[in-house]
Amino acid sequence: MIEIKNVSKTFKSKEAHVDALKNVTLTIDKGDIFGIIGYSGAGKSTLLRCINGLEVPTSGEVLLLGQDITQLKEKELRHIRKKIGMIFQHFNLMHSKTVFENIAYPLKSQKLGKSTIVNRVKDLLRLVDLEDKVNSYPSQLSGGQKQRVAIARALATNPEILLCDEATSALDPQTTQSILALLKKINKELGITIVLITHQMEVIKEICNKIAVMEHGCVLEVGQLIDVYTQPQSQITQDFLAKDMHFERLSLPHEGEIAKMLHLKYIGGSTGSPLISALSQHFKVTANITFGNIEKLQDILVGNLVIDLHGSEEEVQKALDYIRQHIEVEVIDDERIITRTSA
Amino acid sequence: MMNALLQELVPNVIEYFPEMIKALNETFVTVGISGLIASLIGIPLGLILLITSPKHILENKVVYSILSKVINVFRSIPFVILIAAIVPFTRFVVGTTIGVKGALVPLIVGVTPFIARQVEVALQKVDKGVLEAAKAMGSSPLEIIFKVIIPEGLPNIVHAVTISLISLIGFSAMAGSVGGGGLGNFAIQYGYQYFKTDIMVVTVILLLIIVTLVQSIGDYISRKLTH
Repeated sequence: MIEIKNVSKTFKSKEAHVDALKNVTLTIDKGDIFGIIGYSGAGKSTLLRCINGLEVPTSGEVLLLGQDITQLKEKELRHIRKKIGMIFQHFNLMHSKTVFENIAYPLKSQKLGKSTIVNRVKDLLRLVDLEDKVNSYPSQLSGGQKQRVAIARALATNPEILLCDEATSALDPQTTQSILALLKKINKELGITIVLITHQMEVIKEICNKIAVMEHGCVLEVGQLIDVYTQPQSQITQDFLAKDMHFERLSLPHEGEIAKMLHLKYIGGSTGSPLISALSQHFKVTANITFGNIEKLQDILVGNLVIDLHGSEEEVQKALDYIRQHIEVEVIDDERIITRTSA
Repeated sequence: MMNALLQELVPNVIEYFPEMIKALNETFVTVGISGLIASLIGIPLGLILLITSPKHILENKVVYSILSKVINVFRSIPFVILIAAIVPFTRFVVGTTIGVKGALVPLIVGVTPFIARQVEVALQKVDKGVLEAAKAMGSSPLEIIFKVIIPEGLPNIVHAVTISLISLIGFSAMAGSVGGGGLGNFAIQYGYQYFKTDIMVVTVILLLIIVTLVQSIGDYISRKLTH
């Protein structure tokens, strides 16, 4: 549905020469909720704008609905933009217009009768659950309500694709949840392909089925959420994932012993054996649990357990080999470990 | 009783009352007409400045820098000197350099660049994100100008025109003092040259009231347009 091929974008000014995108290639399929994550300045915002031609790539192709949009004239581009909705971090509603007028705005340039427009706006307001705010002005709405109006406006022209530019970054966690639920519903019920960019891993985990991780204008890894989540390849992906993980060392090993911090990953339910108790039974090690959680990604349960293994070097190694036979494990041995021992 | 008190306090104002009303009327006419024409030229110029400015919807370096420089030149000329400097132009356009007609041309030339710059600054306050959203919805530059920038910036435009009208009142008094009629002329001729202090004081109070009124009306409209 959307094919981004070898896209590069360079911003040139007198002072600087910034490569915002470097040879980016991505394929987004129909029906995807495709999440692009990265820190600010990673180039994700520029990439998103290349999809609807708000930014024109310096080189490369963007194939969309069968056309290379980098080759289109301004007028053709405007036409295709009507089939791509877009929502923003700061909602970008018109303050001089009511909720009704804001949603009707994209319909005005299409030759529709007045009653058609009124009915369409009503339907959209029902979809986003804001029927009672039809005559309100944006200044009278909360952040979540503004984003709902923006979503209704973006969907007014029946687009096939919805681009979300940090759409939940200005919202509190609860409102974020409700907006994400709405996006999910739109994707499911209307079959609209969603591309979203964010710096919040929670957003991706909540609704995306595919994910791309960006840094310095490059896509570092891309794939199904569950794969990237359980087998992160790049350092930055691990950083994003570890944000809600705690690698805290609460006590130091005794003399002659070593400590190893392990991140155990349970994917798709139980592992079939009580691993932790087996460790202390079979090996001369102690396992301190420092963190644990269970998450649901695309209806697959993923459990995380962080343990700090103490014991002699030999025993710890044996225990590690034992764990490896049963489940996915990552040895944490870098600056992610926070040591908090009471001296 | 009231008459006696006025006669005591402002004898000359009573004596020259018909002249004062005539001057007041002239001020309204000059400010009204020149304000209207200057707005009709200045607001579109301000809009052009905005949209041709760097990174805006119709960025155009040549148009922007030429327009910007011309406006700066006119704005840097003191108004009294502008009146004198454009005498041939004034005579060419309206056939005279005195009276209400003669004042109109320099007033329009003087205040139009002011309005243009004020409008540009006013419209810069329109959120760029909203313009991007309109662009993302497939709006053409013309649609963005008329359906987004102008409605969104209207309260700010009213504000800019209000400020411009107030300086126009000041300019008109200055034009009046060099033969343009109106309150400025009245104050200089009767109040200053004939040493009738009460006329000077009353004229100043009148100008103060007019300025306050314009400001309040402008603020009111701007507030009404803000949602």
